[in-house]
Amino acid sequence: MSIGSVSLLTFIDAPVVVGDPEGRTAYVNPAFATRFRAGGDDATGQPLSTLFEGGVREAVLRAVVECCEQGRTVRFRLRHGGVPYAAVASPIVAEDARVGVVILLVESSAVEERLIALQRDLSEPVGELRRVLDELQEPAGGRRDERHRTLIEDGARALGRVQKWCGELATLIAGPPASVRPEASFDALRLVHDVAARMRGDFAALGIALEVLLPAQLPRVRGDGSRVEMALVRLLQERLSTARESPSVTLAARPVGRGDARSIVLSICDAPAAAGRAAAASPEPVPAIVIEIVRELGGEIRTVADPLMGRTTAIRLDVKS
Amino acid sequence: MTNVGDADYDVPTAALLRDAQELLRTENYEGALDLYQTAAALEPDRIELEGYVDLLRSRLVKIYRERIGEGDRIPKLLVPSDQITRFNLPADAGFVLSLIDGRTCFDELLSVSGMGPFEALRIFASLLEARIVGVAP
Repeated sequence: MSIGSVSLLTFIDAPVVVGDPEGRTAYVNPAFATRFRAGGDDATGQPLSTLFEGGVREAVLRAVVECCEQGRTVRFRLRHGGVPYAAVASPIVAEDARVGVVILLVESSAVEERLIALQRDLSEPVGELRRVLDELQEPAGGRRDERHRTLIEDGARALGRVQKWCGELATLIAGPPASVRPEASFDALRLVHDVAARMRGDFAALGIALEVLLPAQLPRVRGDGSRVEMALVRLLQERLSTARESPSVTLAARPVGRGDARSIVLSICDAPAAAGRAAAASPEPVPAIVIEIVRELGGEIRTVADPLMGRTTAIRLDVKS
Repeated sequence: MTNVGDADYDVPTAALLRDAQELLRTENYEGALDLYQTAAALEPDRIELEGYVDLLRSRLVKIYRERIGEGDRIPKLLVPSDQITRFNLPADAGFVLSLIDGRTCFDELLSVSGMGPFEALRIFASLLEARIVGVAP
């Protein structure tokens, strides 16, 4: 970081910390010193871990490790002295290719905090409702209980809509996607085969077949393949915990669109047996890390479900131009 | 989660999806797939429609595999080759037919066809259903 830019940081009202590739503090601006180190020594040269305490230290170090190891911006939240902050840790690549970090802390507004609390507050009763519906569905077998089953399925559909809005709220709170490295691309065909090979044993252990449905060819996809692999593995792990009503789960990929709008859709589908259909109509929310990965790749993700068809999580990613 | 028939779909798409739901109730998955594919083409920004397409494709692959049976079974032509033209088969079905030699099993034919499994299985299942192709004893 140049002297000029460090000088500019002294005028910023938001706390800023710069860490070097060894994990030591290279710079803290006056706003950080005032708010986080009132009366403390000069932080320069000290380990980053000494700048924070308790749970905040843990959150910051986790973000710094992720940021430096993966070379990408990490967003997280912390609270210090009763003040909530939205934090952004971004990598700084030195001339010798080692990675340092700059952390910017911006005070969250009351509205943002309320949104986060609202999303958390909504998720809890929605999860509880899902559990109740699942239990109610158990005694709803047989023709006599058709009305009962229909009501539960209607409830599950309505609940699914609420979960959709909860998911969208979480997406909004997660913030805008980071930019995509334009040069990165990967072979989606091979990636899906690798993911399936990695996860097939876990599914087999539960008696669930993990099937793969791929075309003969797929175009290369823009973005970091390792991140997409991580997202697919997380989704499959999530599906493992909820797919026990299904005899099989399908991992599919295919190209869609034409010309400049060409993209591929990656899907994880399970169509449960009739007994599990109501449960399948109210899928678990997509893990936040998966939403974040898809957004940073400039893609889209959506989970949809229907009692007649089952459920699927679809990810759309742009092909390499 | 998005439910089919939601009010925020445009009218043509909403009508297509309502029809698709009706087909699903009668387990007409192929008909429903056609309607979902049309809807997805009409509204390319709605990724959930592509999700439903994949759900139906994965369901249909299972159905086709059930119809075909074990992959090591060997298909054979039930119709003399000079009469096949009267069925007006599409080009890809004609290509698959040309691969059937009475010695090669379904799995091997799937592999050498160079087609995706969904497309190839769909053709095999249709040929079996139309009794153009049977299975060697």
